[in-house]
Amino acid sequence: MLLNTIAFFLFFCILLSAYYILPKFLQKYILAVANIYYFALAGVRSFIYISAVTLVTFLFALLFDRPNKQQSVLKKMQDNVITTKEKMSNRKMSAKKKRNFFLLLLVVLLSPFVFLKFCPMFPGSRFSVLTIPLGMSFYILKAIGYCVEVYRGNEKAENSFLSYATFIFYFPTILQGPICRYSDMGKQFATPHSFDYDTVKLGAQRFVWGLLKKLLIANGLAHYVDYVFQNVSALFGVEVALGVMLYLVQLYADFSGYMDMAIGVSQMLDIDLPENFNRPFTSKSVPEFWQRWHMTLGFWFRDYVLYPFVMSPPSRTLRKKTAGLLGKKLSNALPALCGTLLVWLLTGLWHGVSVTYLLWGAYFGVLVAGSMFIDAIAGKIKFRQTNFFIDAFRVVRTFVLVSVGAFFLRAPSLDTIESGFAIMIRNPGFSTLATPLQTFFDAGMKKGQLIILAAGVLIMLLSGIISHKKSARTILNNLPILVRWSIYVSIVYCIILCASYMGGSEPTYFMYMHF
Amino acid sequence: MRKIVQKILEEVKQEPIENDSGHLLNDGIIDSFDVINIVQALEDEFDIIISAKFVIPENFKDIDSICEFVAQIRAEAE
Repeated sequence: MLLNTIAFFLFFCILLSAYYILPKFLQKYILAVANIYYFALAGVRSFIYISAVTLVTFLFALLFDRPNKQQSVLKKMQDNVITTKEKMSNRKMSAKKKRNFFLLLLVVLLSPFVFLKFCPMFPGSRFSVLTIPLGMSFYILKAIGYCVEVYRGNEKAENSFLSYATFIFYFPTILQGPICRYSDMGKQFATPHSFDYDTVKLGAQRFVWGLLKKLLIANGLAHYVDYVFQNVSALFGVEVALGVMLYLVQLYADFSGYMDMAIGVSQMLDIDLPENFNRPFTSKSVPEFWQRWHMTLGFWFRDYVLYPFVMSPPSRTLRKKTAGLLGKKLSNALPALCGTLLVWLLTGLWHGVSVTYLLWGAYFGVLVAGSMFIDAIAGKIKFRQTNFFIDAFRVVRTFVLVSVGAFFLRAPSLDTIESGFAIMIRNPGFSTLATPLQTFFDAGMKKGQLIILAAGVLIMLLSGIISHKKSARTILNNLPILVRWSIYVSIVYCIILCASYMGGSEPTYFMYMHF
Repeated sequence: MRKIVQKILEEVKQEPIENDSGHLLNDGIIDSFDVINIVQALEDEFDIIISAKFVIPENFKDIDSICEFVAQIRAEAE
């Protein structure tokens, strides 16, 4: 059930009413029923997968946290009746057993996920028809993160299956995240929530803003972007370049639009979700961009892949062994460089097992690792003076570099990538700057749609700049009531207009659902 | 220990860091790669091994919280 459908609207109205009208102690059960109903609509296969992952990780976490027979040994340690040698021996045995158990869990969890990711690589085989169950790419990371934190002792295992299942099944986060941590969510699900008009109002505003981004900008740009990628070899380079850059804007509008809707829905239930975007198009470097885009995925890979890799014994050995050859700065940076490349390759594979996704991961891995390498050799070079033009140059440069990566993500094959770059070099079409405009019309757009789309993109980008100083919703809520309601009515009118003009009356899927 | 930790932070960031500079990690004063450099410097300075489980936002809130987890690791090692 997509968030931009009438069915979801009806579902959520019933949920919201029951959530705040019925006694507060029923809220967690109402949420559980809503989660199950939402997922059951996705089909039996998806429901079975998420239930299995929930049950397995819930039980494994309890086992990790279980007081074991070593507790009596620990008591003896406190009484100082045990020798140091015995202390070290017992700690090692317990840690080794726990580590093996944890590795077994990872194998159990990741094997079906990796298998299903690889299936499309074998067209013609009986497994090629298998697809990733709904939301698996997202909830599997949530579940693994929870187990890691319990394994490390940073968190206590949750004893209530209902609370844990609510965390994994939580419907606003199923389709595209954000990838939450149990430490942030568990208490919120257990706490009763009272109706607060301002909270619900802010949540509704956020939801509507996300819906507008999806219907107006993402769906609108899709016409042009799809046309460009289907006709790369027949276009000028400037049109292909514009298509690639607009694809990045489309992806942002689609993905961040969904985030706004998910966060808004959750806010209306008085449950806070983490942000996934922080004005990425204001970034002055590629590493900064990835600290502002799909942040929860970045944090997950940082905490559960990069840091463990860099702080592992083999990485420490690598540092020590290369210190004499490379010097201290570079040998210290080497594990982080390797870890960065690993993270980006895995992130590429997380999106899908294909050459284009691997190329995407490798491209950004090299860019981010390259930036670290330069810092390691030259130290952090900071321009003592910076001004609007230098910052603007950096922002544009970052946008272009990230757009190239987005090209790899969107292109259906290596041939498209090759054709695209070849056309941009051989036949840029700078003398025919009017053709991109014509291409919009060739893609089936009308003049009115184009104007509305351009206005929407401008408003979206400007709101990102404004919200640096003050939240756009705070500004909106401080406006006089007549002005505020005029804006609300205009937005609703835009949404209806978009549904008629941009995407027809059928709801369109969100782009990150496919991962 | 506090002065040593502060010196390490300032060497990594190449700018002054005080305890009231804000949440080091969450406010973007240090980034993921700065954390790695800080951890390596702490390991070299105090001859300890810092595992990934200690690299959490709570331990990199400010100078005092870094000192606390370093002290905890040193105590566990003894």
